[in-house]
Amino acid sequence: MTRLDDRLRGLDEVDVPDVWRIARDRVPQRPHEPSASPARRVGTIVLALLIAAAGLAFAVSRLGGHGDQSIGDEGTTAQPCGPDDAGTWRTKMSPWLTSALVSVGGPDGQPLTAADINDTLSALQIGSDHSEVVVYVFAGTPDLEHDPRPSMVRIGSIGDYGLYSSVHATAMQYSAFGPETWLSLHAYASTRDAATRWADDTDVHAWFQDMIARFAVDPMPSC
Amino acid sequence: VVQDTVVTEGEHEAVERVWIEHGPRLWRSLLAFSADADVASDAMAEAFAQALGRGPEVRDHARWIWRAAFRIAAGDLQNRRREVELVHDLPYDMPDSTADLVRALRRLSPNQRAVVVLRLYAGMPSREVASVLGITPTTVRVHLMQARRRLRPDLEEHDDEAR
Repeated sequence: MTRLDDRLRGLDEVDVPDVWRIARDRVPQRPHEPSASPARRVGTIVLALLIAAAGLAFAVSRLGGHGDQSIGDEGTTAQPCGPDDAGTWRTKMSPWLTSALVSVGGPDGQPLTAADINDTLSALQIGSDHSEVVVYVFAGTPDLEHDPRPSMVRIGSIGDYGLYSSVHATAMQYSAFGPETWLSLHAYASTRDAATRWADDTDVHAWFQDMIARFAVDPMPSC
Repeated sequence: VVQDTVVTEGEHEAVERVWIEHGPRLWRSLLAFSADADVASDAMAEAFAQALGRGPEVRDHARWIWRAAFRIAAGDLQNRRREVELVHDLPYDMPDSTADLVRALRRLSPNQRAVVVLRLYAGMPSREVASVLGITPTTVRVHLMQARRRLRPDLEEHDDEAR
């Protein structure tokens, strides 16, 4: 099979327009934005903290009734094989937010964080600073346009418990929550020999715009 | 206190050096990413113009410009809702196999497409691609793996036709 990079080499034959001139022409027309004053910066930080606190409160309220696992709780009660680890997490990815944090208990007992990496790339990363277990899920409008079945990706490396982490992403229409963008995520740990699979069993519609986020960590299937 | 950004001659030269060293490769990468010469030119011009305008705010000019250009191009594509359109006529001279590949890239997600272009055409190591795209190197490798998997049928079909 022809190598991808070999075929991309053909781009070297394409003539490049004089974009440098266009760039220079644009500069003088650009009004300089005033630098943020210290007071404005402080205000921005305070606002960001308030938003983060509201998000945390929202996530905590969503966690109610899902066992004794709590968000952002250092040294959570999650155990590698505990049957009580199941929980559901939901997070709203507002269009104007470039990041959203959700803390959940990881299989190593350390909090996991999920973050929308940036506003143009629809990848959600869940990882723990204290563990080798890092899971990712790729879901979101751009991917769904091309592939209505978000992939379940197994990326985790062998951690302290000799297990891989897996993510099962699902997305579904959920108009009850309004026009916000939601991501759906179902994460669990799997055994080392588990194969990467696709989320075939989900009823996913490619044309929807709203998505619900559901984060769930199931009990580990085996120890 | 309102302070206008002052761009020194040295900073201007630094940006111009990036243009000389990276410009053609960046534009062709953007062309492969967007399959649209207008998007490529606009994103690149805007990235360089912003770099010129920001002056000392930008430290690593090359990395900043690559990142800005790809973000602008991605946003532009999204605004124009060209994500799902297949481009049949690429108005640039390039080998048929490359043109076919650029069309096939359109079927990938923006993430996967950007990783393929930056990693395999621009020749950046995974860590650098991650820096440009604002993701982790592991994510880069996963995107590349997924992209290869999705492109495999196109590449095999091309090989069959070439035989």
